[in-house]
Amino acid sequence: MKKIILTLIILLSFGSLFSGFAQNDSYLKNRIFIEALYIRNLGNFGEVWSNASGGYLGYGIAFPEHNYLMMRTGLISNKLKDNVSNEDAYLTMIPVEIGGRYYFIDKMFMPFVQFMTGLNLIFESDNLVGENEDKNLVKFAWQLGLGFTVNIVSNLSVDVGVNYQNNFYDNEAMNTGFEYTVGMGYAIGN
Amino acid sequence: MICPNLLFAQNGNSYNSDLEAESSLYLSKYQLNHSSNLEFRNGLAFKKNLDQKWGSVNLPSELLNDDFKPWESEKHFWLGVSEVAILEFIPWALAKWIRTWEDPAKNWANVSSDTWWRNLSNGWEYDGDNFTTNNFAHPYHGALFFNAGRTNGYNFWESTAFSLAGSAIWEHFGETYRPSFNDWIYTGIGGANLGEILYRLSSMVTDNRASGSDRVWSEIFGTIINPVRGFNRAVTGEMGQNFDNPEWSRPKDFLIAFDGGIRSIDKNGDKQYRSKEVEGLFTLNMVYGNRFKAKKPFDFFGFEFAIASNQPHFTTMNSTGFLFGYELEANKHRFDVSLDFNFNDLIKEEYSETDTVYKGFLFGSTQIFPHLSSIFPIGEKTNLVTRIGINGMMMAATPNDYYIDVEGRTNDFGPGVGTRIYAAIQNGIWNYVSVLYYGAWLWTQSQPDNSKHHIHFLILEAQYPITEYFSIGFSTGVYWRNSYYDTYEGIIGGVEYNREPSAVYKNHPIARLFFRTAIIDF
Repeated sequence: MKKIILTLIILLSFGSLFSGFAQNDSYLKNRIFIEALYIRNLGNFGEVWSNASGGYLGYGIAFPEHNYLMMRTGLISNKLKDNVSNEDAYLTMIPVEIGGRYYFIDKMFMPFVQFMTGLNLIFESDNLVGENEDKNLVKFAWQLGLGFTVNIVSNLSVDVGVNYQNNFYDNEAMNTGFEYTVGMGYAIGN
Repeated sequence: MICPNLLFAQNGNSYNSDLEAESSLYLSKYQLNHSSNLEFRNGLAFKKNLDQKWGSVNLPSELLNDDFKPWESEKHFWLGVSEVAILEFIPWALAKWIRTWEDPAKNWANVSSDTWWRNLSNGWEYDGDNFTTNNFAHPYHGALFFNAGRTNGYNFWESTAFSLAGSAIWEHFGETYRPSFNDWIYTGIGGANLGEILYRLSSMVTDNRASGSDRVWSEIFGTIINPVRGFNRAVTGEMGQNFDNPEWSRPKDFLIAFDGGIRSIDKNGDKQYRSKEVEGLFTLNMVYGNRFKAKKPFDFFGFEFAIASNQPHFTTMNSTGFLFGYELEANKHRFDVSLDFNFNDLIKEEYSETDTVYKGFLFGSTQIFPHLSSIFPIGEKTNLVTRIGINGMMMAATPNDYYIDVEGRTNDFGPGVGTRIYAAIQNGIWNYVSVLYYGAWLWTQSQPDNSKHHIHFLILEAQYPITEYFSIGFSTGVYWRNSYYDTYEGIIGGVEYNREPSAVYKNHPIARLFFRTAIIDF
């Protein structure tokens, strides 16, 4: 827990360091954000783990000209496909990612493209053929998507996004899928 | 990075090629331009034209069009995107409609909504392309994508998004194959490295103030170096306008050096030293900018290109480019992060009636290099320069001892991490003595995986100036690799492949004798 708190302090300090880059009259502000997610898994991976749900906690730093640097972590829990019976099986991921958004306009309604990349810390009890195999993996992760931010009031905003992800898992079963997110951001340090 | 050549032959010395080299080069130039050795500099080959520097045939300022707005001064998103689309379409159309396929079923351009969905669902793989395709053709294609952004008003970082996006689109939608992760890194990141170098060289060559045949030739050379930029200058009418050159496009420090000599490599790497191959080696080294004054990405870069007399002729292409950094003590200590690219192909194919045997070695990487650079004066004109840092390899390639892909790949792919240490005693533009160590662990991700490689390069070089602008030098070094293979059972490309656990130790000594000359310096 101490490490998590320390990490948050470092992230927030980092944001404050660069807060001067943000335009004061801009809607684009340094923000802490929290998002809920749902993923529809695809391919061979999706044939076993059909979908996933979870959330992200992150921090974004605004840069001039519509750019946004983001760091986030979270928790993602995968769900077995209905016809796969293995009640005790689990596959949980902790993403640690960095990336960015490009906002097309800087107004109350702000559509964006987003790219995130990093590592997935994977904890699983069973492999894809159903064999019990407690393993911890570290795999490359990336996703690309679209979305929009709506600035409700001065410090509060709502984010909605759709992302395609193509994360490493197994050479014959990459962790591909479409992710849908909705969340809120709170501007700080501006 | 480890410049290959570097590795072998000229490790980082003065005109060095390796990234290391480049740095030392830079340091040499720094000394040249800012303190001692002016008399030496005056003796450089082709020096007589250097004082003219840029644009000796320029029009007078009053004839320049002050109202002309350079195309790159504003962002042109849709033209950039359109150019990426054209760059995707041309190779796809050539494969689809022009190329003759012995087996039409193998035409990878026969894409459809089914192949697109299949690629999106199946995700990344590592492909079986050979080393040159992966490490040269893809970065060049990426450089074109990159310049679709760069020459339409976007900065280095933004343009990198163009090369990454262009490559991702190609991998998912331009081919029937599964998207290749190594292609994406080499095209997206390697393309940004090569693309910015080509962009800056093209901008340096073209002279907006020139007119007549000088202008025509400057535009032709600039377009050859950077076709996308040439296209934009043509369609926007910039080729026909006279206006000021951007200040950044004329670096205050620029050096081209050429060296030629012979290289000897032990091909078997078995410590028996009975399989020596001697070949001629000709190398072009380029250093752009001053690393101690760099502020923006690639304000400073080094580039090395080498041709060998034996196969493979295209043996080396290394580059390093400043990304960002901090001055710790003025002109003494800096912490920098560079983006490096390495292509070193010393694989020697030997043919028999039934088989092809691959000997020698290769090494490639797309990596970042966070490092500390220092200069320690040890004499009136002599300095000890050092660099020490971490090799952070996003994608690296080294030989696999057992597996050859049906498409020609003889190497493993994977990320890696290691250390690099470089030190040299420099005087003027020459390194009297230099030593480079480059080490890294590489974890195989391509099929067959379940292996790891520990690679090392150690190169010692000595150089003696015999005239003011010629030197003769000798370098010796070794590439050694310890590879550890675990059990593998699986199907690769539809073919069953099994492997027992083993360890392989290779040791390839390399030696080189060369002369070197600076042909352009200012």
